[in-house]
Amino acid sequence: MPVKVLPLKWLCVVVLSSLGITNAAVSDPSSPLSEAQVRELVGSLSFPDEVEVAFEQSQLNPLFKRVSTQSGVMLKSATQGLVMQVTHPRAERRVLHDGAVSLTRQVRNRHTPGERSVTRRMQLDPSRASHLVLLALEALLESDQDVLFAHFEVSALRNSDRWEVQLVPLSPALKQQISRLRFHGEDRQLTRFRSERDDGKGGYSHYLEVRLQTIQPVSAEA
Amino acid sequence: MSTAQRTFLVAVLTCFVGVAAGLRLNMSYDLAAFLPPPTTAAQTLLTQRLGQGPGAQLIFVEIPGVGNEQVAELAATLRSHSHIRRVLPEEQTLNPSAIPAVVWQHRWVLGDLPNSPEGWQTVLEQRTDDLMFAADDDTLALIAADPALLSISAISRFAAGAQMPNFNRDDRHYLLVETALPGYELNQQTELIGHIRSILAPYPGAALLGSPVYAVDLQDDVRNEATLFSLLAGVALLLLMIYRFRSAYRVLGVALPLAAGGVAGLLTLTLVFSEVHGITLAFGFTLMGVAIDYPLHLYTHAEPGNVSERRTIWKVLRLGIASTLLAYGAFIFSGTPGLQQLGVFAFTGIVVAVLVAAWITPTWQSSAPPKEATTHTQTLRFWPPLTVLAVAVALLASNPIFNDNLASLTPVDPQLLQRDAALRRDLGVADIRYLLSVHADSQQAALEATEQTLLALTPLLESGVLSGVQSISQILPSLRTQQSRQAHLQTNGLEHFAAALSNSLLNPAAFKSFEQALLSQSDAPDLLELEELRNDPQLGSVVDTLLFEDGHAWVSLIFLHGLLDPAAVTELSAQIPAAELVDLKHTSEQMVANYRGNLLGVLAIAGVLIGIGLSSQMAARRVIWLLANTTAAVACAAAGSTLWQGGLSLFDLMALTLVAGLGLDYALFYARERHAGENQATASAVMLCALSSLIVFGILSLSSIPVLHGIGTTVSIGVATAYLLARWGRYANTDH
Repeated sequence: MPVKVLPLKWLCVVVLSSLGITNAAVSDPSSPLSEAQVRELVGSLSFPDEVEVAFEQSQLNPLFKRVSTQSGVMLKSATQGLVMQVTHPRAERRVLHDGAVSLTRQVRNRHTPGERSVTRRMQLDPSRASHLVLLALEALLESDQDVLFAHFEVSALRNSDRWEVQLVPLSPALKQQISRLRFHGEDRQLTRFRSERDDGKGGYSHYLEVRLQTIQPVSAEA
Repeated sequence: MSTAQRTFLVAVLTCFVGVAAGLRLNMSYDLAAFLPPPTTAAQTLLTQRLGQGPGAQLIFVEIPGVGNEQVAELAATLRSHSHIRRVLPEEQTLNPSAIPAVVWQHRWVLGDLPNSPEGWQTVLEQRTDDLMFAADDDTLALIAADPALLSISAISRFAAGAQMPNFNRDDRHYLLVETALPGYELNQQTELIGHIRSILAPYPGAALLGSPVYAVDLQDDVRNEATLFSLLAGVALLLLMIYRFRSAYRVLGVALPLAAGGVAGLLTLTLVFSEVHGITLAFGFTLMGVAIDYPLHLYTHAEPGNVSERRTIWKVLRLGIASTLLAYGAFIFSGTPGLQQLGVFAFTGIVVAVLVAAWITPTWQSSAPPKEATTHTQTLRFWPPLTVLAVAVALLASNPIFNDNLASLTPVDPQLLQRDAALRRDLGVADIRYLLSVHADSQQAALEATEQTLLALTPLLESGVLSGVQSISQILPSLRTQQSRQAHLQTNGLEHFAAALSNSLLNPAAFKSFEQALLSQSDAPDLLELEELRNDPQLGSVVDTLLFEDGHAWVSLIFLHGLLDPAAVTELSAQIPAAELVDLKHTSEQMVANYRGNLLGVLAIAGVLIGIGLSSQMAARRVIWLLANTTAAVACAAAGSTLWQGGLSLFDLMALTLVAGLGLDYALFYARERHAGENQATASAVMLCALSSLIVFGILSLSSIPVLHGIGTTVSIGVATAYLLARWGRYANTDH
């Protein structure tokens, strides 16, 4: 199959999946999975702790002129949860743990030299689209099928060790903000996740995509 | 009418008066009623704000072993109660629905827009980072309409404490519940805490901490312990009376004057005052304890074979009663409503008790003394009372005499208080001891001075000496500041914004509504006034705590969070004349010390009048002996209190007044001239009086509640000393 045709095939699969059709009517190496198989896939993922990955996040929304990017390092820790250290263009630390997220930034002092650290902490609210994305990410990394199936219509595709999990919000209100979430991986490694909102004209008005690449396992001493 | 008929009549009247008093009774527990009139601004603040503010209205909820989601659900459930003002931590998302309408409408004057392209660049970079994290529709709408987040920043600054991240430690989550109830509203506090506990029932190991919790739990403990000890003392006293008199009628005759005096005092209080303080009742009955001595003396001396004449006994009793009334009457002139109530209650109660005792105790014909009987004059020994006085004074001189720390009177477990203090520090809660007070002649002057003070505090915030502040200026700038911000909008509000926007990732088209709103605001200013905030359901009650009118002045309070160094705040606030760091602990101790001085002065005058009164009835030598004995007993009791309790509290001073009354009573009876045949009756009567007081207050001294334990110990030591000095402080010379 020509490589350039592949994205269209994927798009078909994605569109068909978003309509709730779990069986792709195309001859494609990736096989759509049944619900039982999806549960088995999600349950088996169990991403390892203390593995450092580099991430690059790109986003588009109506307030941006163009796609905006951030990059940094992400680590799944057994004790702290998911830690994302943004290094570019500006430093920010995000910690996602047990249904809450905290953001830490350096803020310049107004009246004295230097900076100070300011942290905002939020309980993740599944009724908010951005929080739902984080909840889905956390649930996938923890192999928590119950959370996924409670908030999303879940479907998956698999081709040997490559897989894709697609989530469509069950809530009609949230479905207006998130058309779908897609998580891609190889074996037990998450390589990409993406949130999209269709603009009704075949394109996207909003999207968020994060690409991940393993750096190295973090040693116990580190 | 026979004495039995009189007794029955008095019993019935006592019941009726008791019912009438109970129906009219309106109780109050506001401690401010017992404090003296304030003489400084800090003292006025203390008395006005007692029971309010961070100390009295915060409850900590500790929940072990639960997840964030359960904690969030719990917080949401708690927030629904009408007496709960807020529950921290609060959501900090960029959520427009969390912004009160009055704040959104006036956001332009609640903060400073950047005044340079570089300033706007920093702001727009922060918004870009916010959008990279969360791009919900309402977040997009908020940022498009308020890119500098003036509205969110105002609310966040004002809700100090909401941003503290340290709400979970060691697998324990903490919620901070701010109630809308003053600390002295115990009934409502009890209901609220019961409600919170019922919500926490499914969470094993969950606990509540904080002043309201201790007060409610203490209320039950005090009530139960007071009931138990009263019952024990009453039963012990009853057994003593039964053993001594072997007659139910006489036992009733001893109890009835005290009961009649108590209900009469209570009814008088309800007629004179609109509310009766709980402390008045508790200590009023204590002070009236001396009234039990009167029927005891009369019944003892009325026994067959007694040679004492009723007239003689009454003559001695009158002296003691008059002295007691002078001392208790001094409370009425103390200048404090609580002590005035105490004085009225005790004074009325004693008078009625005396009248009832005179009316229902039987008259008797004294037996003629045997022919061979001798008349004894008393040779008074001065060395016993002077020795005791010297030792007591030496002990008093070598230990702190007075304990002005009101916190030492709390029966709360010290370990619990330490845990409470550590929790407040860790969670960055507003300090309960220190706050900044700003006084000015007008509302605007107070707001301007508060702004200057906050500016002066900024270096402490940025260096970590303070973790946060809460002040009215964060949500209501002065008119001058609002007008200055307004002027800035008109001059260069858009220019710098447009310049920065063009160099950012943000789409200028998305901010057209912001630009139009900014232009409208600059053309038609809409300044924020206090009344608008007061009318907001979310902000009104908090605003009233922070800015209020006091007579002809305005007071603005600044609550300090996570204060590490009070001296640094004092140094900075000295730059602003209108601002003062108030140390509530020091202020309360100062008030107690001033009050003690007033009370001691009044009691000293009463003592002089008593001395003059006694001098008009007997020889000077005898008067000196009486006063020496009484003073020695009081000094001994005071010395004992300082040794065992670390100093005399205000309540101990009241107990010493009772010791003086009882001691004088014993000394008067032993000092008088009498026949040999009277010795037995006098000794029996005085011993019975002393024993009854020792039993009651000795049992009280076993209480775990510091105030009750203190009073019990003080009076027990005083009564024992007074009795021993009177009993063996003289010897009889036989005349013939």
